[in-house]
Amino acid sequence: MRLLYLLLLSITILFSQELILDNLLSEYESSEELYLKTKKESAGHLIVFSRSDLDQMQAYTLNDVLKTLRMFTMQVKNTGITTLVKSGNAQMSNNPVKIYINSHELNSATIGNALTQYGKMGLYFIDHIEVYQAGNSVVFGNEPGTMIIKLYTKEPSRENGTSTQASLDSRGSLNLRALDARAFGKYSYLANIDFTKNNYEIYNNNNSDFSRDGHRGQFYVKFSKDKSYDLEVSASHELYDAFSGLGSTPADGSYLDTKNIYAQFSKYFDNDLTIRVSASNEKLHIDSRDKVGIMLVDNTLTNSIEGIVGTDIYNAIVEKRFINGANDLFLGAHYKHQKFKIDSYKNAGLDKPTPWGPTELDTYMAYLENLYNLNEKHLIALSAKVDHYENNFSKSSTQHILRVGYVALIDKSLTFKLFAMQSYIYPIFLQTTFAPNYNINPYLDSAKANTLTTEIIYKLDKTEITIGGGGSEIKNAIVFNMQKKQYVNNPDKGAFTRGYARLEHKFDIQNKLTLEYFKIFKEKYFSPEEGGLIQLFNQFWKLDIYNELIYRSAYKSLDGVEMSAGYDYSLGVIYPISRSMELKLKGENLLDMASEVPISGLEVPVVERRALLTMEYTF
Amino acid sequence: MKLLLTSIFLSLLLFASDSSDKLRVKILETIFSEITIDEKLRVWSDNKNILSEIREHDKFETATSCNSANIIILEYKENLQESCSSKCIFVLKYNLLSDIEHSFGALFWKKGRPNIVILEPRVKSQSIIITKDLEPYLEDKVW
Repeated sequence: MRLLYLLLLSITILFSQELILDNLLSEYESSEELYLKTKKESAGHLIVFSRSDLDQMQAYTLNDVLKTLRMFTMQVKNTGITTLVKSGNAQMSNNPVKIYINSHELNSATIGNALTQYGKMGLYFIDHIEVYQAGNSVVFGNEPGTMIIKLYTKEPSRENGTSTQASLDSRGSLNLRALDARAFGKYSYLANIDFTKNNYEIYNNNNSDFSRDGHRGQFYVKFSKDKSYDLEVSASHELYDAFSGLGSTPADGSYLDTKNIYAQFSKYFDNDLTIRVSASNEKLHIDSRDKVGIMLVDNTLTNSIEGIVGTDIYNAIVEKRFINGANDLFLGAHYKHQKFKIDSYKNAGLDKPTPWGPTELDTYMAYLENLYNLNEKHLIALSAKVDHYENNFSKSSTQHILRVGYVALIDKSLTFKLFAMQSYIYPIFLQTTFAPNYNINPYLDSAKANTLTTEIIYKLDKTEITIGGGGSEIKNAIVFNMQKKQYVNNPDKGAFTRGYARLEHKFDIQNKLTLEYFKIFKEKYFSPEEGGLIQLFNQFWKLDIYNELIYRSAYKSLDGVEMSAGYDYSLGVIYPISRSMELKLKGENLLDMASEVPISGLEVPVVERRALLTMEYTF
Repeated sequence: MKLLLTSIFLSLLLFASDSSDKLRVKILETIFSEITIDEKLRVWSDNKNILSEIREHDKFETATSCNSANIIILEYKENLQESCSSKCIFVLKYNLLSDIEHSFGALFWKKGRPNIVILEPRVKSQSIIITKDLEPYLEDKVW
């Protein structure tokens, strides 16, 4: 017994200092996480995915993160692209979610839904993600969004090298990624290139094959001078099969081809003055062919529709911050020019001259936010934004956002947040200007939304409990009218309320658990009304282990199809072979019970069951 | 008082960065406690925060200049005086291991994580004795 005790003691002594150093390194890494410097608690109800979370989750694409978000369900659309659907809403509902890379809003003017265009975006160059839900601050600029997703790129001075990743999945999908980032003196750069070949299950129904296989490529480059400027350039290209397309019996040769490119220059002056200019271009080419035919607005059928549309966007932004004692004032002005282009529209291979809506839109925005600390524990946030829209259809409108926020650190463990906001949702290009198989409505007005949300965060030593809730009332909502076959303003008021609870428990620096539940309350439900999330991050021996279970309730779709509840279980394991090489294994939708959506008689999950093997090498 | 009131969020941020500075010093002190040279360690750093933190902890003697120190924690190459270049030097950036031939170890960021490296040939050539606890961090050469 004494021998055993001595043996244990000597082993403990032998490994203790190394363990102490390794634990200190982990603690140091955790205390230096970049999100601690970028997150804005006063800007909304915040969900953070830190660098270490994303690494352990093996979040390779934005969709890997988005599918876990409360209040939303990720779904596949008829054209094979994925989107986030607000709980209870129909998939066609307006969903103005904004995605930013650093301070640049990704162009989503053509489709009007950034989630559909950037879901498959690789995250190899992203350090952390902040998601602000409901009552978002105006300091993010641009038109208002119901949810803001901020992606922050990796810091070159913390990378100092080249990393490469190669992934292969059980369906034959392939992904190659490379990142090079370095700092030299005051200068730094970060470059990322990403290529993906995506394979999915090919469904067959009514003698038609439904495929969403495709290829995607992207690059991102950032060159910076410390505290002086950032220059960012990025481009992506994706080509994929159109799944069901615009009909329900797809013929061979249906595809979507999307291209995006942007450049942004940010100049930082002394005294918190920032000037930003950016230009972006996106192009969308859809070729949808159908064996039975695609229904047009005049109730005739065509066997193919081809459209090539795109948008150019130019932005100029000036922002200034004044900090004076307990007061923090933020002022911003933003000019945005959007030019929509309809290069081609064909029915059955023939050019179809069609009257389109406004193709140019100028937006002039001015905004301010004042944060005032009543004392060390109470903060009042007041925000206002005026947006003036002018288009070449001689229709102009002026919209405004008003927001009041209150954040209180009631005591060491209790934080209270309250946000009240009056905002609007501006119609999108696919509603006012171009529509492949329904009527456009150039005279659509903005929808008006009033939102009141609150959150209580209770922090103990190792546990954080968040309970939140709120409601929204929408007037003049933009809805699709089946009779008119166009989007119209609904004069009736719509409303919903929501509630959620989240528990995060850190067992120690390497082991933690997240439990979350949410429910939405409204009159009618066309997608899951409640959901839950379990995440378990563990380190065992040298292995990083990640367990994830996403629950979404049963629902009846807009077409009246009863859909079962979804349970999407994923398991990831990371093994460090050496200092420079890691082997990663991930299984997604292992129970094959993830939430599904009905498309042309099929039931399609957004995440198919698959195994994914990844090797990472750092030079 | 003004500083206290500036922003509760700013103050939270300052707290986070303060604790991370302390952790960095704790790591350095843990490394140095596993190192033996001919004489008692006298530490100097070009990073004033690190130096004052070490002085406050009182685990190691500190020096007011690199000339009177026998071990140096260096963040910027330009802060190293010619007269001190032959002393034991521990650097805070990986590339300084290549730039300063006499440096024997580094605490640095790579791939988003803090790392420790001790260069075995340089430790031997400078007669620095390290304990077994630092052996997992030994490397043969600069990558």
